[in-house]
Amino acid sequence: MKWLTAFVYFVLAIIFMASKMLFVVKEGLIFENIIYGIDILFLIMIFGKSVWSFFKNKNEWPNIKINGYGIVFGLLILACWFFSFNYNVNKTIITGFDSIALYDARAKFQFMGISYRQMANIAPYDQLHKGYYLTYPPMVSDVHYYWEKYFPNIPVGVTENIEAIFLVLIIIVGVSGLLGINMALLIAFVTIANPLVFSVTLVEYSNLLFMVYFVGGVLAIIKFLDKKYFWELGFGIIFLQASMWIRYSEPLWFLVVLALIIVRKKYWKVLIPMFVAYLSWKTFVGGNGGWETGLKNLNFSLGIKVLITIIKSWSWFLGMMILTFFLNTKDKKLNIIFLFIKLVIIFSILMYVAGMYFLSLNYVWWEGVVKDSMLRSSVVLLPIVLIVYGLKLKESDENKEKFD
Amino acid sequence: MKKVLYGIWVLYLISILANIIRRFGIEGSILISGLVKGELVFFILMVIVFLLLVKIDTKLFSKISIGTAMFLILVNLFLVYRNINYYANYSYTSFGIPRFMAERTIYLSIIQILIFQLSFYPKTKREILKYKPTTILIILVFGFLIYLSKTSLRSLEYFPKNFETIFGREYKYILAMSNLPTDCSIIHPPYGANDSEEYRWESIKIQPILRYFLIPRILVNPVVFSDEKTRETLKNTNCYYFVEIAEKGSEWPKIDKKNMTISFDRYFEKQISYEKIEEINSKNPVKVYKVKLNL
Repeated sequence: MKWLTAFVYFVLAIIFMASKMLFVVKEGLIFENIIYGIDILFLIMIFGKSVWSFFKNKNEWPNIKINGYGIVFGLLILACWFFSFNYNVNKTIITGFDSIALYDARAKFQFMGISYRQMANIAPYDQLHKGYYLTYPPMVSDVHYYWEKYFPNIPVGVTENIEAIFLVLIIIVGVSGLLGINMALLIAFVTIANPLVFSVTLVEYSNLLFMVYFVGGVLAIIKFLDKKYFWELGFGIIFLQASMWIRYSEPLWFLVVLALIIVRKKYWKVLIPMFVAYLSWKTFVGGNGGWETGLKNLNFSLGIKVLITIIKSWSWFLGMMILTFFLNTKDKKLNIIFLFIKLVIIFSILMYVAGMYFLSLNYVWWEGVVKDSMLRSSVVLLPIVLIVYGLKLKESDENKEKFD
Repeated sequence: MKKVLYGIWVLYLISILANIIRRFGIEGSILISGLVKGELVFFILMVIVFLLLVKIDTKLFSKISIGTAMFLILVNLFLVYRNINYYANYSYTSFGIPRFMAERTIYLSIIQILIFQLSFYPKTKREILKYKPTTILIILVFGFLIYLSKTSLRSLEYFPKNFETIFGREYKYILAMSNLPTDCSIIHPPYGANDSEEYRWESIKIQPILRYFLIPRILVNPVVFSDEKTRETLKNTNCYYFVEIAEKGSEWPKIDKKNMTISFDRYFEKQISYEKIEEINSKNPVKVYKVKLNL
């Protein structure tokens, strides 16, 4: 488990840092504004200290005792992976609106020597999509660019399958210590086989990569709350920053940091590198990127309509999230983890509801976003929600044994 | 309890086998048709017979049932996948197993493994009462999530494999434009801020989509012709290309050769005069024009 953890954490952290550093160097930003330099410096420092702490600490590694149903879920994960791989490796196109128009288009522009700064002004005769190319930070396009550069004969969709491997690994690494390898495999399976997650392995969107880093970040912080090893917090910060470097306009990272600070006030300092990372992209895009939404004509009946649409769209998932609030534990250590996850869930629900309401005030096409993008985006919370269920199941199983 | 579960499992395996046998010719037997249809009474009778006659080595049976369940999961996943990827009735014509049965077998096998591995099955009535409602609820949640995964495999049927499926009839126009030289800008159907209810043109009016195929050509959304400032800058553009969309109900643009004007806007209300127009690549079924506008 030690070397698997090292492999998954180091590779993911290095890919993210490389993407950010290459961006800063290629766009010539390093001497332009001090914020980019501070951002990179923080990243290197956190990474360095985390690696040092990883090897210095005498970590407790979970025993891998895989049983029959663990093997079955492992096989099912492989089957799921193979089905999407077979689709991705055989297709000759990019699938999905944003993957064509944004992520792969930006990779294509990079091949033509067009920088991100120039992309902001690439469409002088289209007022409607002004700033479209800077709505998302560059990481997914970078993955496309380097893949197409070094593996031109293998479809870029295969990167989704590599990300799916990392998603499974990060769940195994993050959950095994708390719940055992078999439960980790079950959670990894129901996550990867979930229709919403499975569908994003077939499209070159940013959702899956975002999920890898976000879930990785939250799981690392949960492990940190459990064991208190610095490297878990360090990699947690790095992964959450990476999630910001993929989908900037969804501040899920902030909700996680906020939940961490509420349960452990002394870690408020985590906010500093996070805000620096946030500001560095904001400084780059200026007024160009992001959805410009404002509070205009607050409308109560529209609010109700938005709420009903959200409840209908989320349906079982909302029920599953709400149900976690009724699950409690008497174990003091676990209580912190329960509280942390519940805070992340409640903040996320509030964020999505508020976000969709503001969107509905500004754009007539909000309903499509609720039914499609919001659902796809919020499914990143699924493995995190399942940890509460897993912990509760483990607890009642242990009690049952005692009772017997 | 355990013996009943083993009995049902063995019968289920026999009913799969009966399906395979039936496909390859042996029909008419009450035994086989009963097993294929899985009639409840027949099943119950068989379980009773099984319980009365067969002596079970439980340890061996546990291993056999888990082994067969694992094998069935993989085989049936493959069959469902072939039904989706190869042709719809593949599993039935090749092995006599209809798709619904293959899907059902996967879930039953997973349940079988969960039952025997986790020892969830209650041995006595008293033990049923030991389970807390939360435990049952959590098991149901995981069961539901496993069940939900069946939709995933089905989604493979609907995912496109080529651009024609994504862009439909508009793809031929995009393709025609992508073969044009890069010397002129390209005008595409209009897309204004208030055009969300406009369905005559879909992807072909969206610049980011077009740009993916047409870069490094400059694209002009005709909505900008109404803006005096932009119109001024466009005066320097020597020539434009555009494709003529011919499909009924989506025709665009409106060319008036008599008065030498073209209307590119949504309702063809604004005429723009041109100096010269020529149809290029006339062999292609998609008509492409090169035009010099008087802005």
